[in-house]
Amino acid sequence: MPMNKLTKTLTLFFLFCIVVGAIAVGTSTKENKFVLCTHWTAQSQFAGYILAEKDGLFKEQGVDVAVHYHDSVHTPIEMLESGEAQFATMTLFGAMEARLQGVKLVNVMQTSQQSSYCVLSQNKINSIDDLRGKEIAAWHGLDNLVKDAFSKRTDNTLRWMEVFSGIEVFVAGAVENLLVTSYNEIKELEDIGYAIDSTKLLKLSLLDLDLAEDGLYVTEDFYNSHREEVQKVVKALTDSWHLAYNDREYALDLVLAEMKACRLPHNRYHEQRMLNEILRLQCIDSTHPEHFQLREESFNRVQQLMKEVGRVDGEFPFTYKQFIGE
Amino acid sequence: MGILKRYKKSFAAKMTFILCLAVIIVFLVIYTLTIYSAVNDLKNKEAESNLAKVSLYSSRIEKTVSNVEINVVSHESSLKNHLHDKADIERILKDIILKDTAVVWSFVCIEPGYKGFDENGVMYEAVQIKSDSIVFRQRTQDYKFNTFPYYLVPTRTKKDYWTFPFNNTAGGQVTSFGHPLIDDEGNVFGVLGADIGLDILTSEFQEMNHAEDANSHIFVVSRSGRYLVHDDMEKIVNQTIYTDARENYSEDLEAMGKDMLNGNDSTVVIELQGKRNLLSYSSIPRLGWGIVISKSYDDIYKKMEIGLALTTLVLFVLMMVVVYVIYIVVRKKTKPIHDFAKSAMKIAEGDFETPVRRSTSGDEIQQLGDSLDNMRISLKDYLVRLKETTAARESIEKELYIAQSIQMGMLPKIFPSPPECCDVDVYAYLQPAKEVGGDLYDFILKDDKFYFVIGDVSGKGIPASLIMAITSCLFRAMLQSTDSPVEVVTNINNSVSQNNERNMFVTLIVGELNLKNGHLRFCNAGHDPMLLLEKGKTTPVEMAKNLPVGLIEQFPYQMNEMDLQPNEKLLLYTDGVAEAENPEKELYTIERLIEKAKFASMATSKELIECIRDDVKNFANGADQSDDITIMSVHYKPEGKMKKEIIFQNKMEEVTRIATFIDEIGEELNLDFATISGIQLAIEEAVVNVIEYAYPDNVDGKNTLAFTSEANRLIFILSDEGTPFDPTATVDPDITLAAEDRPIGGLGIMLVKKIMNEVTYQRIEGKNELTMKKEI
Repeated sequence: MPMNKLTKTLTLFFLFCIVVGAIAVGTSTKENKFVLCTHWTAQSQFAGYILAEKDGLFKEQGVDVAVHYHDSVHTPIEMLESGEAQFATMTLFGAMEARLQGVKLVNVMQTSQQSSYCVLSQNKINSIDDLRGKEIAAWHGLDNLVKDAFSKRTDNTLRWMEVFSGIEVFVAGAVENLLVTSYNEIKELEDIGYAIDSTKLLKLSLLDLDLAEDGLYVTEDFYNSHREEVQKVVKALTDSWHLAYNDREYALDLVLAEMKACRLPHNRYHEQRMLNEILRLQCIDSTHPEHFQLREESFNRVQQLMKEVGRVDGEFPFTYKQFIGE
Repeated sequence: MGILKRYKKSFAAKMTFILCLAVIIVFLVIYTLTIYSAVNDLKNKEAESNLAKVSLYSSRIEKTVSNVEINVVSHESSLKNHLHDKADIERILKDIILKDTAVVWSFVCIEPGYKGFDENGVMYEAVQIKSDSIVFRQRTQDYKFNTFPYYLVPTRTKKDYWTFPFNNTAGGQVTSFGHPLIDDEGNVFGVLGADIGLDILTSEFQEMNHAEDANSHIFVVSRSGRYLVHDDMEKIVNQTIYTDARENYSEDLEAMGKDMLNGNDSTVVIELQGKRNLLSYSSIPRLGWGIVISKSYDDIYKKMEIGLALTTLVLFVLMMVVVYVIYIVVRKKTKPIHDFAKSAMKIAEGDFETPVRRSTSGDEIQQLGDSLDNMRISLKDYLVRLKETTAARESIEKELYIAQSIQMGMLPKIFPSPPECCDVDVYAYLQPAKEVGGDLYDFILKDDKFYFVIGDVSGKGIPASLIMAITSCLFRAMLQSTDSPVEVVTNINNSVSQNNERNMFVTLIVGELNLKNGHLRFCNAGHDPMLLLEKGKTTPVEMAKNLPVGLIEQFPYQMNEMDLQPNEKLLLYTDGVAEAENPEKELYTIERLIEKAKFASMATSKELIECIRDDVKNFANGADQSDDITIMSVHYKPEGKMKKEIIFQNKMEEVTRIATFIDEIGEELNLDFATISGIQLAIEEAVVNVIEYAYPDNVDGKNTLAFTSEANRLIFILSDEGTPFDPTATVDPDITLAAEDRPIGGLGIMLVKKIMNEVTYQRIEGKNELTMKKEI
């Protein structure tokens, strides 16, 4: 049935309005919608991020942030570089090494102030000399800086071996030494009834390798163009970590729900103890509660290690202030 | 309330209750033991059954696992022969899946850089997507298979290896078997393996287990403690038996997990989430796995619910029957007791004719009935005798009462005392030891003589009382014919001695007090000496020692005489006083009597006797009185009739004697100093008047001053034989005039008149008699 001219005109006008409106809304949404990429799969290590997203803390700050977990294909740095993510978690030394290699990252939040790394051996470790010439299995995603700095303390006699599920290989006796984190592998070993002998455990912090680990990073360009949004995201995350600290069971509920949704093995008991350890690592020490800021001495320590292992010759290419966006 | 009342009253109800209680307790014990035993048996059977099952399932798992291992290893040589042929590898891997329904995945990994292979190595895998669809593919180089346990452990240990359960990339839960590939040189160059789908394994075991027992649960754990098989699929891969234990705060479960994975088998009871569970476990040593069958106690008990209910019902019914039988038997057996009780009640009410049910049971009930009947007969006889005895006794008691009344009636109850009876104040007390006694006292006032007697008959009771009555009568009778106490005693003795076959005797004191002059005559017939009380002094009166009356007829009794001064008392008593005993068997003694009498010597007779009576009672302190007690006081008290007289010559030195005479009167009558001084002044005036003027010079005259006291008046009569002269006729001098103006004389007689209340004069038989009366 043919339409008259007025009807056609009105119809076109309304269609025009709808299209323009949708574009306007879409543009506006896109501008405030960000992706935060973690450097491993969903677990209590990222409780603050999960909580901020699922409990609406990002939205409370007026930012729309979607948390994407590590997919084993793209590293967080690649995600930032490609623009697929605007925020990414990574270790301090990983980030500094990336910046050294030209990826201008800015630390906007530091969620770990202490090192979690330990070496677990089938034999007793009386000193670092007991590890000379030995093979150490380590998570395949471990930063090279840690490996190199550790090796340096054995005159580079260590042999590194990448493993995916280190504890199984270690328990099966396929490897003699295993690099573990205090919040994950140590807890996993306890989960399977493995009694850890403290004489067979060496904390890296005892080797002057007490390095701050996890932090939140953005590219320098993004930081400069979205300072306000970055601050909102940091505020939301600060609130969420505090919430996780104060209501751990609630945080665990959300973490486990997320792990389940991601079809990941999930065990509340394990995640509970991981969360406790992560929250402990956020503190400088027992007398200094978490403040989520990168300390200059942590930056300097990594800077020094980088010089030690020959990453940098001469003057360091960026300063602490540049690194934290000041 | 009714039941409680019945219970309290009924022996049968109590017996029934106690027996039923005992039966119920026994039944409960039997019931508890039965249930306990049944539960234990059930638990043991369940444990045995479960252990057998876990052992069986353990074999099944081993078989399943062995099948996979054999399946994989059987393809090793074929694989080695076609290592570079992708199509053959695909065929081999698919064949592995097809040969075993438990296998959902098969793979082969070749060591990086091994003999013509890529430096990153190569991995092929066959995956069963659906039951009829298997996909074969080669993993990309990004997939670092050589970092995973299924590759690393077999290649490094050169041994077959079953991995911890994990989620594979397809989302399934599996455990991988890796078999190291070793070339002819002995070098490990890869791994051939297969995955078992844990969902398949779980379904298979659940099916198998539930077919046997739908209420039991089965779970299998890997060497890591991680669940491979579990009813709760959520726990597979995710949980380990240790995290499960810790989440449930069960140290027992954790200990069981360790024990099992250390290669042990057993059955334990573990409480999980508030419920007790029986867990039987067995290890699978070759794999380092463990298998557990768990069953809650609730489910175990369900098996015996019907049996338990039936047992309870049967026991309950049986118990009710037993209780009913007990009730009937007890009622029947206790019926005679009920009848006995009724009979006993009637007997108690005095119905001794009521029949007592006779029993022939030959047991205690019959004995009880016989005893009750004997008791009834005995009681009946006893009561008859009691009635008779009581009547007799009542009669005796009545007679004794009458005798006592008669005896007491013989004793004088009215005691003479001034002013009704002047001159003597008498009081006596007699308390027989029994209803009637052998003591006596009596007195008679005859003219101016007061006769008294106190006596004590030998022995006690009715015989003594009869002698006492005779003696009393004789005392009074004898006084009709004689005034002499000794004659009275002698006559009584002669009368009592005659026909005294029982040789009873009486001790007596019979006295005669002349009230005019206080002269006392008395005769003591073997009685305790009487006491003389005078002004705080108590002295036993010396008496002739005569025999008691009744012993020897015509015994020559001797009499004693003495004068009693006014206000002196005689205290007479029987030996019951001195021999009164206290509970400690101590005697009152005569010394104590003397002391007490001395203490109360100034009191009246009544006060004295009551004082001694009370002291004796206090001393006895409730001890039985062993002898009759009699006390009598005779107080010579010639008030108003005191007469004295002094004869003096008409010499002035006689005035001193007159003054002494007046002093003695005053002292004896206890007159006050002012009265005595006044009287002395008046009398001296009158006497001096007689000495100086009644007689001519050198003529001696005999003059008398007589004194008489009446109740309230003192009378002095001054008589002389001199010249008649009426001093009362003289006019009293005018004492208002000066001494020199007044005529001589008249002043002395005026003084007499002033001091004395009445002064009269008369001339009688040639004597001047001046009577001066003074009211006191």
